[in-house]
Amino acid sequence: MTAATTAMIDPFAVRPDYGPVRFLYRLNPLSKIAAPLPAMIALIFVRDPLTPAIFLGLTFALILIGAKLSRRAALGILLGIPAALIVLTLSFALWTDPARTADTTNLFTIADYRFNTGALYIGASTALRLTTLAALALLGGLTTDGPDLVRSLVQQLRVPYRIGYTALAAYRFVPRFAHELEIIRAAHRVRGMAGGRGPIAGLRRYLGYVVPLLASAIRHAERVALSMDSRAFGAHPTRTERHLVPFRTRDWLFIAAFWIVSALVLLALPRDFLPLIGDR
Amino acid sequence: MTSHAVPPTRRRASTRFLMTCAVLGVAGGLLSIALNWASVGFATVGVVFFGVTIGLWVLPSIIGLALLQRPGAGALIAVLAGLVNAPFTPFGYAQIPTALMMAVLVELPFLVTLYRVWKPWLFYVGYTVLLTAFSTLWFVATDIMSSPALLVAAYAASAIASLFFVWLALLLAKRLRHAGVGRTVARPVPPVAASPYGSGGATS
Repeated sequence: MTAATTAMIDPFAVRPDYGPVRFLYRLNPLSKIAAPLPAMIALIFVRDPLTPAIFLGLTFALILIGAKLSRRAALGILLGIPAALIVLTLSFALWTDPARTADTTNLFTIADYRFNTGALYIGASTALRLTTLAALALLGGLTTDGPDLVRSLVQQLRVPYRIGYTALAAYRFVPRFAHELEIIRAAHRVRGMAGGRGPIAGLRRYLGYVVPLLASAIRHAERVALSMDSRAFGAHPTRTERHLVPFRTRDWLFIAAFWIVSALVLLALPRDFLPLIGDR
Repeated sequence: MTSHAVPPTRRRASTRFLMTCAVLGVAGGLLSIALNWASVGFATVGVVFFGVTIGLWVLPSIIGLALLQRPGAGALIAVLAGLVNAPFTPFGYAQIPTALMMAVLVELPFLVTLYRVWKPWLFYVGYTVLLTAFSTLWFVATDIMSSPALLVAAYAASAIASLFFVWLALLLAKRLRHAGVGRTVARPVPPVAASPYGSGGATS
């Protein structure tokens, strides 16, 4: 485990804050899920390329302003998403049934297969839709840490705290899994259970880790449960919290603004000039 | 007898049950991290990827239900898996709604039988039908509906894959039971071979 990943899953790590411009870190995790949700649901059913393109642009702007990206993340977003867009457009275009785009300009023909501009248009729509869904998801994903989301689920959504603390425990079990895996691999090695070389043997070896890993992790979990019970976990209907995750006015404003803009893009945008290709 | 000996009137999940679900949730989360990145890679090759691998995403939930045989085990594991993998994957916390849908989905076969039947046939029939139906969501999102031949192939692949993953989950649950975990949580089963795993040979 590197320091970075440990910090990411440490429930007691200090929450990052990069000032008022990087506002996404100062929002409640729930508002970052609630705000893009209507747009995401609508995007599943939208078929034109313009709507997702506008959402993609807006989301890019929000991420670039509101999130402090590491160099790797910035590179991944600024290069990865356009690259994915191009590759997805081409592959979806090839998937498209040529009969649906028969009335558009033909680009090239291989035997019976006709590749038309309409296919490219449908491919681009689908690719834009998928990348925009991913980008909207990144809005919260890049700037939220798991334990905070769990805490806000307990504090705002009134999820029973025993369930919430189960999730916090789950975050704590992640490094424990790595530890257990090391022990099991060492145990297998010391007994000479290598099973040969090559990818097939490697796969078999890893499949052999699954049951011991799960079994020892569950045994560990049972010990943890015993320990929690002996400390009277869950004895009272409510409990105090060490870390508070507030839901402020700014969260309501963010959700409202996002929903209004989403509604404007989805309902008020003129689409008459778009060509009628495929379903539309 | 004092009131201390009286069991609480409202039955609730034991901490042991919750922590066992946490472990399986982490396993599901780690699996989903791999699957999420794989889906990024495979999205360009075939949009059917989600539909076919859908059983793998809920594999730990099915293991949990088979092992623990308690209401809510599958739902809890599905949600925890979503929470755990979110920080490490490109789709982040936007997976939570999907995780919630999965949570409802994995509980449905047992919910409709009021959590009285835990036999393997229910696992096989319930999940093959539900997972294949659920894959429709991705087929709609990716416009594959345009070609009927592709659609039939996608549904067939989804159904076969779902059957395989249910088989795998039941096998893993059986082996875990052999390893001696989960017994204290699972509801008591009669000594006659009434467990949902049949009476398979000893495996380790």
